[in-house]
Amino acid sequence: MDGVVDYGRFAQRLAACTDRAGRWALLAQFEREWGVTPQPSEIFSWIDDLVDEDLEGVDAHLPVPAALDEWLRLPATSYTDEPHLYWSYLIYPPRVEEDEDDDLEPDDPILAGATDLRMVRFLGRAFSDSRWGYPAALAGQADPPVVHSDLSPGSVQSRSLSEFVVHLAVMRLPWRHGFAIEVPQTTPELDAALDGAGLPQLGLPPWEEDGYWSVEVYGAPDAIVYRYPGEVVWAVGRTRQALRDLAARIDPGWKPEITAAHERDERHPSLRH
Amino acid sequence: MAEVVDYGMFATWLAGCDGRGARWTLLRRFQREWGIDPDDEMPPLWYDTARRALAGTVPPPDGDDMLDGVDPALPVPRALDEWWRLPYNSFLYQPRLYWVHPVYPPKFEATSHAGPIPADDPLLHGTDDRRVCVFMAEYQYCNVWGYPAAQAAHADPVALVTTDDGWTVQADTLSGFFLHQAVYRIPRLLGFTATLDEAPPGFADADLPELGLRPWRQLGSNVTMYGAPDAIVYVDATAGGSDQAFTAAARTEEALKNLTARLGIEASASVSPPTWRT
Repeated sequence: MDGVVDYGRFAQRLAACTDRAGRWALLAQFEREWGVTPQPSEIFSWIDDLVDEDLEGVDAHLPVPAALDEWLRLPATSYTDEPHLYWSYLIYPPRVEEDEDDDLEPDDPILAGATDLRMVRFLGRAFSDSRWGYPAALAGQADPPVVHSDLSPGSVQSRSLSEFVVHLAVMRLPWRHGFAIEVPQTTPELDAALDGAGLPQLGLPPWEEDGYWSVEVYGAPDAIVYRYPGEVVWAVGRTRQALRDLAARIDPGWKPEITAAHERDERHPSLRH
Repeated sequence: MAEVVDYGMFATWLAGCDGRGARWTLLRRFQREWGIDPDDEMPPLWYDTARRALAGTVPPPDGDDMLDGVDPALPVPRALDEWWRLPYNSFLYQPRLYWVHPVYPPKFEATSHAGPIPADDPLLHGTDDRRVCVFMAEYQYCNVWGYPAAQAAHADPVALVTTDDGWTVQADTLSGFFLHQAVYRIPRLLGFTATLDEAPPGFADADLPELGLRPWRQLGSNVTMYGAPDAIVYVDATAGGSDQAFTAAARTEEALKNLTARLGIEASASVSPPTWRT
């Protein structure tokens, strides 16, 4: 552990990343902060060998955004080394969504006047039909915005694919590596205390996922708090003490159970619905 | 099924694999060809716990013997951890395609019936570490598979199997072993099959190409595999092994008919549709 990391300042770190390279560096820092030390992996080497693959659903005329290829080809990154930590599966090459109900509306602002209404998916969520993708009209961008298949068309999850990757890591990695508090059902008192604690958000839009819509993420020293409005609150800490301090800051009388990663034999909270 | 896949070419594909990544790719392709295409498999939580307990970052769960028989000073080969984490790992998808027990972290304790590797064996790479790290066992522990402890630091060490002759090389690499195992097990469960008590008269004349894999050794069997269009033929050189003396497995009923006609197998032979429903 390299000193205290104040996730209350994460938004500034994110904002300081002005390009993809900056966000890949932030991703690598975040991994290290949570004890994830990815090794070079050949698990996804098949993406380089797609000559004989069944390319059904792939529009060969659409470019693959540079950000997606960069991510998967980082020399060592947690998704390619430990994909199971992410509870999602790679769709590569990205596939054009067949269901026309998923098409964008012609006047969707994300299209900026483009006429190709199709969506392209690159990642699917485990145990559900939800997928993440980008508009085909924006496939030529190096780092297009990311849209969730279950949102109303055009609702943006992430401003860029590389920011989506950082966001996904924030949602997934600490749970399997850090200490945690889990409150399966929040209370008005806890909500009020959380509101009153004044924790800064991480500078990421609400996270959208089946059953756990609009999860807000807040930062504290060595700790991150996830709020699924009206239901679950969970927090992760790099140390037990960070979570004790966090709990005391939220409510001096709150003494929640704190579990180590190996004591939690259950799925990530966002996959329990 | 779309195009015909000629497994007479398998040895060429295998030889063209220039690393474990290429062998994982071939494994994924092979699974698809036989009708399974898992893409979101995850290792069980005990695997992660065991891995971190081995690294010393968490204590083993109370009362758990997961580190018994394990030398924590030995690294785990990259290929083994990669296999556990393949999102398209068909063992994680459906273990009963395999009927084996995984062992993780690899252990020494189950090796007793084959003993250590003989001193001076080239597998030891000149070291005096004769131990074998067992990473998988046959369902009733009649055979186990491992790699030499002397090669534990290799990314993709040789895979050994216990036979009556002691430790025998099953595959030159772990990634090649996992590919090999899928080729050995999956088609006879997911394909149309014809089985015979001995190789049919036309088999020798047909001169089917071998797949380029060593004979599979398990439960007394010694099975060589041969390739044909959309079909694989399994021939057990031993009498009394657990395998049928001769089995042809095909991706389609038509491919099986073509093959049985070519090999002179009588129409009355025991022909079965896939025994496994995916």
